[in-house]
Amino acid sequence: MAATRRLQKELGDLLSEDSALKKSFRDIIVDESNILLWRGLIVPHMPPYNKGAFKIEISFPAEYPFKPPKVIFKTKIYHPNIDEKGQVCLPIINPENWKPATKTDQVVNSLLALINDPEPEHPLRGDLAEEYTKDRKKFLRNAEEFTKKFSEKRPAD
Amino acid sequence: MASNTVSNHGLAATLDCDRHENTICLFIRFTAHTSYAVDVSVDVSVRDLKVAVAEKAGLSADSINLVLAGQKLQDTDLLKSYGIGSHTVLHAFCLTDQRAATGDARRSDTGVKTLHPVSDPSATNGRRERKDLEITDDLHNLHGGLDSELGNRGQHNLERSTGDSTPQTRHSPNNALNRLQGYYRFFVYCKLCDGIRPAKLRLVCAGCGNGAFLVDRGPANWDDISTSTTISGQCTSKQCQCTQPKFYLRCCERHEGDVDGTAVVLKHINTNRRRVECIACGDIASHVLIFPCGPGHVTCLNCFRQYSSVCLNERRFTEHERHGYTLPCPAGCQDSYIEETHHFLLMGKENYERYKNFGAEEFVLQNGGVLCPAPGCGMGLFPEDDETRLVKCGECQFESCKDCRAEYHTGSCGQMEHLASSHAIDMGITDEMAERACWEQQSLSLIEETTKQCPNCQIKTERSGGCMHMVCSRCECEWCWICVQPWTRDCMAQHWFG
Repeated sequence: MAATRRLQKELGDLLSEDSALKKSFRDIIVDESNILLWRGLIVPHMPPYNKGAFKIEISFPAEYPFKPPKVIFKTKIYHPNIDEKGQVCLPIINPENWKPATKTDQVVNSLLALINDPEPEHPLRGDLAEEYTKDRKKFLRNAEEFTKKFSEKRPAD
Repeated sequence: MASNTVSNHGLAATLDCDRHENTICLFIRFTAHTSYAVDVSVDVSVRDLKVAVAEKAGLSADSINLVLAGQKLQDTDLLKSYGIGSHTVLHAFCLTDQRAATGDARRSDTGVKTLHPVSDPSATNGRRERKDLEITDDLHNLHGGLDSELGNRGQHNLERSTGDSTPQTRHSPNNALNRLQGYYRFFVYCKLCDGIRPAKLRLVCAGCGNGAFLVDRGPANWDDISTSTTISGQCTSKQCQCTQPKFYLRCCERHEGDVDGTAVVLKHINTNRRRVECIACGDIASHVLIFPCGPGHVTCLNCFRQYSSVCLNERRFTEHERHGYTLPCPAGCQDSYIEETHHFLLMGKENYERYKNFGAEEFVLQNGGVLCPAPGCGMGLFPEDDETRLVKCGECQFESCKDCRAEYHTGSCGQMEHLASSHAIDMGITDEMAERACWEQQSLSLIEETTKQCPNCQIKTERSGGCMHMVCSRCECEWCWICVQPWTRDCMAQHWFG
């Protein structure tokens, strides 16, 4: 009950013209029969990921907002904090840190910040973290190439 | 006269008083054994009521004084101005008592408001409304003054607005909470209603229990209605010299046979006069729970119910030094713990029973005790601090090992060398017993397969999903599901997600 009402409001805010995220989190699709699963497109604005876009899924538990949502990448990404299965560890949605007052736009903002500014000290992919720390140029080259090859097309506007 | 005198216990059942909307039934109590039931309109004055009572009791109307919650009702006021609902008990005493008369004089010196008489009950609406408001504010001082304390602390300013100050006294049992919205300041968990109900603040003489007790001033904060109240007053009973009132809260519903039943106050629950959004669902609910944190975060009652149920299932409650097994504000504010654990009754009886069990277990564990591991037992045990690992349960007699929390064994832990198996030699084993043993074996091996022990407190833990980074719900140890050792950066880099 609480989940549905709250998510309807949050979705309305994110879809509105005033949303601060309208350029970087877009094409939000929510099936009418299941408001607990959101699909959307992350459009980063910093290199090396600004050559493409990335599909993500946000799934909310029935106990939302008392339990955190989960975020998963559906598009492959070359990033030290996102593994091959698309799993990402965001401190803001860690069960120990989760606060029911946290809104989904904050979660998406935190995700964008992590994409633009990797945290090699908490890696999910040790090899990429090492490359990122030791040879930044090589990392950026690889990441850009990977993005061009595997990511989604960026929206025109 | 005898026919009008009803006993204390049968009061409620004897009369059907809801015949007309404006007609209420009041119980005028002189002593514990002498009460009169009176049907009156809420539009009549206190004086008219006294005349009606005088007729029934065979007394003079001038000699009768009526008391509600420690204050004397003024002759010229209309009953409805006090917000008196049907089945309210008014305490009565006769003015022939000299002490009461002097007490009355003293009170008029302390500035109790005397209202101008309204001779014509059908006076203009505007005038009547204004009068209602004034008197309601008096009652606010009497019943709801506790909010001023909250306001002073800057937590949640609940001053009255004109829009919600009109008491609605219509009886609608289906919606007890919304009834009298904006008027009630106190809420209790009523065991008889099995739910939250608005409450009435009442008082009796601390010495003799007489309800006709007059207080010198109305309460202004929670301390004023506690047992250490500084409010004094005077008992109207001739035999009693007591000057100390005893405040209590009771459900606003009428309960047969329990008309004076007290209930525990839910001090964090309030009417949402400021129309604050729930921190979780964002709705503006009629009633809210206000956490005792700096900003005074608010949840609606449904979200509080869900918040506490989710936390209960995950055992995220905290054993607090002063407040018991409790929860903080969901926004994680400091010093924001629910101070009265009866609020958790909102989770429902079944969950509240679990809550009490978990709380007791937590208390045992935090104080160095262990729980009996026998199935269905779970008794809290405090093993003596000596060399032996043997812990015997005083309840079910089960013997367990203090270190590995399994059945007591010789040799080192983990070898499953049960002492019990040595007893088996002398026993004849029936088929039934053999079958049961297999089942237990299966159950044990299932537990062995699906769980790992926390490296710190040894609790058997099941991983139901997520990453390999485990946080023990009992001892908060952070450990790795693969290494079964405290969590390290290597675990994070090498097998965070398996």
